Amino acid sequence: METLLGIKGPDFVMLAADTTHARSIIVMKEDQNKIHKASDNLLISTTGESGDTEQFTEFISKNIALYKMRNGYDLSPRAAAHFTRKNLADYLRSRTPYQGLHVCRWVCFRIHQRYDETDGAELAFIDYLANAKSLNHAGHGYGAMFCSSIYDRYWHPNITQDEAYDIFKKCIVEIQKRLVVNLKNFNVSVVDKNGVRNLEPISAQSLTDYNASS
Amino acid sequence: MSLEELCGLKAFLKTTNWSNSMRQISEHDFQEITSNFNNPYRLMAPVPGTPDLTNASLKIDHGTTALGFVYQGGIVLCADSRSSSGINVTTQTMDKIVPVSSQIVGTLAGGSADCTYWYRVLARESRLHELRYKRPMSVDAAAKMICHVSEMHRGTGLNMGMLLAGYSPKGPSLVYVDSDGVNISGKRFSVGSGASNALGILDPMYRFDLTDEEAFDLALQSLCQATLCDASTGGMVVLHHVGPAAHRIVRKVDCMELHKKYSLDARNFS
Amino acid sequence: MSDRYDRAVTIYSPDGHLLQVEYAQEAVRRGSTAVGLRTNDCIVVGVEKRSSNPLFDERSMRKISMLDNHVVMTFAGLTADARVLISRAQAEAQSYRLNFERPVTVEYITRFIAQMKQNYTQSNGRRPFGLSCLMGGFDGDGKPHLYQTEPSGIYYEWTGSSTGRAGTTAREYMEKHAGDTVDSMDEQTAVKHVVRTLMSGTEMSEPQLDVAVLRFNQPLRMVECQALDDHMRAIRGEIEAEVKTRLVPNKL
Repeated sequence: METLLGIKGPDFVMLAADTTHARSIIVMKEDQNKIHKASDNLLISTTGESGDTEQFTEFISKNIALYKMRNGYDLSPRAAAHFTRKNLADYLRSRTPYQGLHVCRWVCFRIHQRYDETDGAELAFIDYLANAKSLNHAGHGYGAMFCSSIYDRYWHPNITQDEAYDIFKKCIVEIQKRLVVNLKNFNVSVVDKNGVRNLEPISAQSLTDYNASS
Repeated sequence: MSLEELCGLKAFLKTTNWSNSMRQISEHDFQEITSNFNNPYRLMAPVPGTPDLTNASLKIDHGTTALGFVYQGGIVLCADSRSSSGINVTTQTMDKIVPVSSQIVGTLAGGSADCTYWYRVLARESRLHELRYKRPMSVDAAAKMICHVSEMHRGTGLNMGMLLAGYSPKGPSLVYVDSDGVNISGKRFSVGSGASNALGILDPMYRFDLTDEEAFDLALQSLCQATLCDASTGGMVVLHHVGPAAHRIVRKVDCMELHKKYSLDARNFS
Repeated sequence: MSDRYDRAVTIYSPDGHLLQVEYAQEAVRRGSTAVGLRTNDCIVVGVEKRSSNPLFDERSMRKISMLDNHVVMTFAGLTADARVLISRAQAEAQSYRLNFERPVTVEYITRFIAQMKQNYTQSNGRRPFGLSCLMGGFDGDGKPHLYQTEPSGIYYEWTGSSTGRAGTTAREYMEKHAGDTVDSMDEQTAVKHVVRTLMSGTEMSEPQLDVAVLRFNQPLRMVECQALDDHMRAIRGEIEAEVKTRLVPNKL
């Protein structure tokens, strides 16, 4: 149900994630931030079975922090993605109850991204079977099914941050119109050479204004 | 022989002739076979790699309603006291709001044996934390501990849902944790089988700037609704208030009293 | 007679000493000097870097390291032992964050290190860490703290301390000079004080030292070589002036 979106530009990556946290049929929380800041220029957004994703994300970000502390420099974006993928793959093939029974079925779709001065922007898409792929635009969850066509239509290699934000608005309008589940609020974060910034969340309210103006 | 099982002796006894063994047991062996005493985390922990799921589907008694919310005057926790097993009510006087430390209180829902046990471990750990680190354990840390326990016992049928409430210098915090490893903090939660009923009253009437009396009334009213609509919620309704300095039981009311009060209110019988 | 009582770390000598631990302390006394200073808003640590070979690349010698974003550590003694200790402490700092959702306090990480050192003095087949460490950092409330641990597992808190080869001389210097004004020192004065303390113990012709400054919520800043050079030149001037004033009354 939960939805993550991500767009890579020439010198930035932008992520959006819904903020709903549901247990069975009850919405427990409406302001859950699913975009985690793992280091100064690395964002991880995760979705899946809630306990596992949280546990896993924290494990990964603490290890990335430890790497920086030990070596004095950050893990490169590709290395961070690979580290994440490797851990996921190991759990997938282990028979521990933690991942063997639960995670490998439906957990831990993840987008993983960072801006690095030498490598430029990187958006890594990692799914629950530990596929990792570097992509220009990506999405996870049912909501993302409506978005691939929008990405294809509007994304271009020289996309600016404003344009990317606008694409997210288009995607979220579509999700709120067509998806059977109510995902009313999306957090948006961007990472570029200045580090990580949170942008204005996209909510049902802000979209009403958006539709009125267009 | 549940004690033997609890402390880990049973597996040992199966394989050993007791009369001979006393002479052969070394200090190390003894420590090994009673290790559950020293380290509660080892209790029932699955053997890595081969999870024993034969008991995972066992029917655990659950069915309860607990709610908690943060408002300007602190945190309110409210729970019923009925414990049921299948279709039977086992007791009407179970304390489902448990003090963990002088700062933290929690509610229990799910398997009451699991909850009670892990609350006792949590209480012990929080006291040790106070002694070791010279400051009280934060609610976040307590919740994290339960998360780790949940993760360790994945797939063994552990069944808990807890609301932990407490104060830190930064202000009030209310966290929901459960045996799936979920750990979310928020302003307003309800757990258990009657949660949806309680939320129906709680959500529309909740405001942050409630006065103490209004907050207590709202909690009781929500829980009263849950006792009406949910078969496994009932008995005494216990209301706890968590303030910056201390936590206390505000009221303990039989839900029958609440029914009389609020159903008259709501339906204008008089 | 000591050769009978220093075979294993767990054996006492008849007069109640653990000789292996004392040898470890000896290793510290031969290590390069390290100095730490705590003012009321920053931590300054300095360490002497001895290198006799002109071909040696000094950048490969790192004696000041971070345990977490807010704790800096320097040491005197066996560098190889230090690497192990630092690595364990760094992992502990992250694991503490994971478990308690807050950064470690300086005292906690000090106690962790001290505990680890103590463990190595009480079990067979191990050798005590030949290390004395200075840990400086900030607690959550922004208060700076400076701690020191010894090979035996003891730890103390200081406003200023030093250890290593010229540790005693340096500490005596610190006690005598500016002992009571340390709290209110500004960063420049504190750095200069640390440099001078290091110089008091060792003859140094060029800046053979590393000095770093840590402030609350800011990354560690290594003091640049040029700045150190300036400080040293100024200090030499001061020393000469002091010597002169001391000599003048004598002549009279």
